[in-house]
Amino acid sequence: MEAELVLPPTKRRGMWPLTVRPSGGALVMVPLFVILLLVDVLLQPDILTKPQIALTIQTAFPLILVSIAQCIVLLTGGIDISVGGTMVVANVLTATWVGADSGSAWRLVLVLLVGLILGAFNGALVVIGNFEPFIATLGTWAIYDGVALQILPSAGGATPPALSAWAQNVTNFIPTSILLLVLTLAVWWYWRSTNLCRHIYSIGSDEARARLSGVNIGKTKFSVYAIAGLLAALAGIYLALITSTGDATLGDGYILSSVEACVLGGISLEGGSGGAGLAVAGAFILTFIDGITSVLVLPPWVSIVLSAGLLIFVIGIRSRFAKPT
Amino acid sequence: MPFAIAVRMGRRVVSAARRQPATVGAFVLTLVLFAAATAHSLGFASLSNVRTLSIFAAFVGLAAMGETLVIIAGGLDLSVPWLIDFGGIALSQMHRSLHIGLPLILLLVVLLGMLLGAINGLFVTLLGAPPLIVTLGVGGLIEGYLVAVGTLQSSGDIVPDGIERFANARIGPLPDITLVWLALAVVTAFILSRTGLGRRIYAVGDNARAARLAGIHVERVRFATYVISGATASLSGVLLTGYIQTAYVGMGADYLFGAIAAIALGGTALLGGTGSSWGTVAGACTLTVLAGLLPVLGLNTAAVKIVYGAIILAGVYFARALQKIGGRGRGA
Amino acid sequence: MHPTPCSGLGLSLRHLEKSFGGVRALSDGSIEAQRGEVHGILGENGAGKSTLIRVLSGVISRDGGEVILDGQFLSLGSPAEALRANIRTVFQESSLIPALTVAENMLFDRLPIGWHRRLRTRVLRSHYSSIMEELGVRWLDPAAKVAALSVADRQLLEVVKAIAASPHVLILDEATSALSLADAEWVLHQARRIADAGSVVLFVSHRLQEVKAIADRVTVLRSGKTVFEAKAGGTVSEDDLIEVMLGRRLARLYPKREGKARSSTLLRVDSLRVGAKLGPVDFALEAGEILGVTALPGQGQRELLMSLSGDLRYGGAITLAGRRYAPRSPAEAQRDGVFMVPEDRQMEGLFLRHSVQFNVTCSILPALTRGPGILEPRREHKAACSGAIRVGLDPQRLPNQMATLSGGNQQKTIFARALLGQPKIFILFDSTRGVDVGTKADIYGLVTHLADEGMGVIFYSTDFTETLHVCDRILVLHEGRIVGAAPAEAWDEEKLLRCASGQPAADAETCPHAQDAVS
Repeated sequence: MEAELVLPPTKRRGMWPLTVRPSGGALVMVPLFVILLLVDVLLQPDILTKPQIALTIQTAFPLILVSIAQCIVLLTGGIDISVGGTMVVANVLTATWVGADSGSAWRLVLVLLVGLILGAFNGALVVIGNFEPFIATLGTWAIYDGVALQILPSAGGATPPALSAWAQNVTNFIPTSILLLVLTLAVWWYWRSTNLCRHIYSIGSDEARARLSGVNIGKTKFSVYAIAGLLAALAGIYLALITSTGDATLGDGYILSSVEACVLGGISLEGGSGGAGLAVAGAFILTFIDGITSVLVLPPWVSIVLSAGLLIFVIGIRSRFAKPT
Repeated sequence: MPFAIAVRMGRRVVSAARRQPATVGAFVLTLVLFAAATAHSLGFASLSNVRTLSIFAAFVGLAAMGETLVIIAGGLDLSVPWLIDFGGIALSQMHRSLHIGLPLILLLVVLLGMLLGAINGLFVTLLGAPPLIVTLGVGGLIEGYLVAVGTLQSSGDIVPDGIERFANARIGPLPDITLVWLALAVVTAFILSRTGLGRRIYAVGDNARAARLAGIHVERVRFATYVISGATASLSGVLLTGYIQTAYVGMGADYLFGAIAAIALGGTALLGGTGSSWGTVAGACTLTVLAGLLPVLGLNTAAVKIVYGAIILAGVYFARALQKIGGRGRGA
Repeated sequence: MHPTPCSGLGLSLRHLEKSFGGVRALSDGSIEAQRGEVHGILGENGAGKSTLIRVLSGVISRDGGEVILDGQFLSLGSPAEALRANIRTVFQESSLIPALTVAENMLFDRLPIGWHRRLRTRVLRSHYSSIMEELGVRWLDPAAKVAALSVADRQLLEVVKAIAASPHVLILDEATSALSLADAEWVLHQARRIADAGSVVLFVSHRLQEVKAIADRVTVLRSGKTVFEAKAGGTVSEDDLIEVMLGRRLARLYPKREGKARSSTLLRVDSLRVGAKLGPVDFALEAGEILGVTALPGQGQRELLMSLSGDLRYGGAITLAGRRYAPRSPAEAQRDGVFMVPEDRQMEGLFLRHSVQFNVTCSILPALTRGPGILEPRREHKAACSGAIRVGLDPQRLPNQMATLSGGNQQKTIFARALLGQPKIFILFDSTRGVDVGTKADIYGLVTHLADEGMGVIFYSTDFTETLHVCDRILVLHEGRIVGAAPAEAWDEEKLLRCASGQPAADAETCPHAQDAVS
């Protein structure tokens, strides 16, 4: 029995690749992003100079990296509370083990590896040990935080001067932070179409069916936590370089902020939708709020209430109007 | 006759213990850690030290008590640290500005705590939003309010005398604070095992969809758990303030980690559906003894954190293993 | 049962065993299928068919036995391993990932990745188009997300996905259940083509005629064992097959209805609408009547039954015993006397980690408490026992954990729960699925007895035989409308299938309609 085959004209010619379409979460994030950006710029008009933009991005970049790390973990329906811990371990290692000796800058590669391993340990707990991600990463957070504190009990240390100078530079033709941001987005844009990424989305979309389709759930989840560790370590290294110092206590603030950034960016906590672009946008939204409150010299409670209220507002809208898959 | 009653109670305890083996495991772990600490330093087992430990266990235990119900029902309350801050600060503020009796102040504080819990509950049920984020947001709102209200001057009469006396008093060997905690633990355990609400909490946590189709008002049950969490957490803050004689934003910060770790150590699944109040009690004891043991061993802050995290992971692993063994063939 | 001598090429499943907790789903599952053969697998639900399929697909690991393909022993520890052995399964519950597109799902494990490790979209599209053209199947938009597809389209895509890989072994598990007649025919045609090209095709379906039409040989499973195996040619009759499947003659499975005179209209439904999926729909239910509802998957039956039981909002008017009935939740529906046994007992009905007693009494908690909600253990236990006995469940099992019970006993528990509420209307949503024959007989007996006592029963089933034998009147749904409504005597299996597929027989313009007792 042969069916009459009629190929309909292809409507979208090459505009959107098959996998990538704007997810629902972006609908809330985009107006938020634009509004806050405009307000921030209106309040601080001199922020529009290239050095200022570079500085803003520089300050926000650690959060951006940690938010991306959190994002990919959230995509599989998990969560990583230990990103703060991995971050500070890398941070203090940069300030001590790598130190001010320019000749040992190559050790940074090993520091990244340490981040990968710390993340992989999380992955092992979740996949092999069958721990719930929340409690597994809660435990490793304490461990990693402790390790960082042990390595550098009080803030200090030193970082490779040449590398730090380069990282802190805002006056080049292309300032470092802008370059790194563009690079990050490029890597994400590339990585998004790979098989591993597709498997991650599949697991978040429907884990049981992903398994039926042949996805190796354990391997994929393990990779996700390992990569998150790597990104967190990168964030820690970068933070050390831009501050020329190490500090084992700075990690905690990034944990909840990374989750907030993902939520504000429109990423679902159940997994399956959203991407690093949204996480980056969410991180910037948090940065704009900080900028606005500091310029207006508002009392600190306003900034706290503002970001908390915004969080509830965004998640409320998303949950209320979310379409079931 | 009392012998017969004792035997019957003993049997009940044994059958309850068989159904919740993780609780037993956590108590055993507590004793092991306690013995290790005493072996290292005999003063650990002194009556005054045990009293102090029991007081701090009470703070964690109270913060975790309502949270246990929330988690069993399948939710999560991350606003607990700020509820604790609220309890202490509200107590102090009201004592300074309102001239009403202490019992009324206490009642008001707990009621307000319940109101804050109700806000959590409303957002979670009406919006259908993930509790992790919503309670985080509400916690932020509470924090903002508390910061706005201003930091306290450390002069004079922050804490009502009544509370201060209560916090330092004891009946027999047990401090009052510990008694309050244990009494509430009994009530919570009773709610879970012997009331309709408790059944519904287990049902909603085990399979919310099935609970709805079975005619249970899932939203009401979840709402109730958040309200209770608001009450117990703010009460914990009240007692904490009474004991440390000050109230400040951030004093509850460590108790979130502690509460969740205590709950997990006690065998309650973080995804909900099973668990017990006594398990959380046992977990709180374990954590407190652990936190007391580590400095005794001469570990610095960093090493304490590392060991703390490692033992929690190990403890949760064994708690789950025990629960699985105990759960085979037997019902809740 | 003697396995045929190994002929070298083909699939051989030998003495497979699998238990879940204490329940033995498979104790001796064996199949011998040669290349070039379409092999039908028959068996009642709960007979071990789906367990066998899942073992072969790598979804679950077996406890014992061997799987041999072309002389090679296979371990099949995961679905990925089965795919690597080129064993492709059309899963009943679908393996399509909702967030991904049609094309990505179809070629999921062999997506064209360039040297840069990224998906080559244009290549994907052209692969997709050429496959669709080659197979002669109707077109599905490659860029559409699977989440947006209808149930029938999803099933068709699931079949195409498996076939497109030119598998060594193709397993079709109820692969035509949601399809239109035309698409179903296409699937059968493809199955034949693939077998003729040299593959092994395993065909599982509860539609006996389909199996007889397409299979070369059949294996029958019952109670976890292979009990029968033969050529599907003329010598074996359908009745014989049914008897082997059930272990008893069909006639003894169904109780006799005592044909009580209808007393009153219990439920009247006017212009019921649920979104775009259902409506408007009108019908009535008498007290003491067993009203059958049947349809292909995704035709609005879920919307119908869930709205009646309070789970879904709807438009239109319903009267129950003369009064307006507008439940906003299952709790309100139950307060008015409407109880339902849900479709998927694992996801929607059971509290697996808790005891049987817990599961039985959870709907009537208010009746078992005194004071501020304090439970009375003795009253609870008594109620649970009486509930259990009523459905034929052993009260000794009450303290056991729900997860340890067999599918049949789990279903009985939900029945017990619903009956404790003393319903006026009892809605059964595919209650005999995944349940052994003995329990089915118990359920039929129970339902008949309840109807004789005056309860109104709405009985939804996808098993036409069962529907014909158990129900007094049958409604057939198609695309959200009632396309047929008549007493059971006016129907036969073929008419039901045709009407459910939206195509009445050539010699009739419409499906059977009868005017009695409707509006």
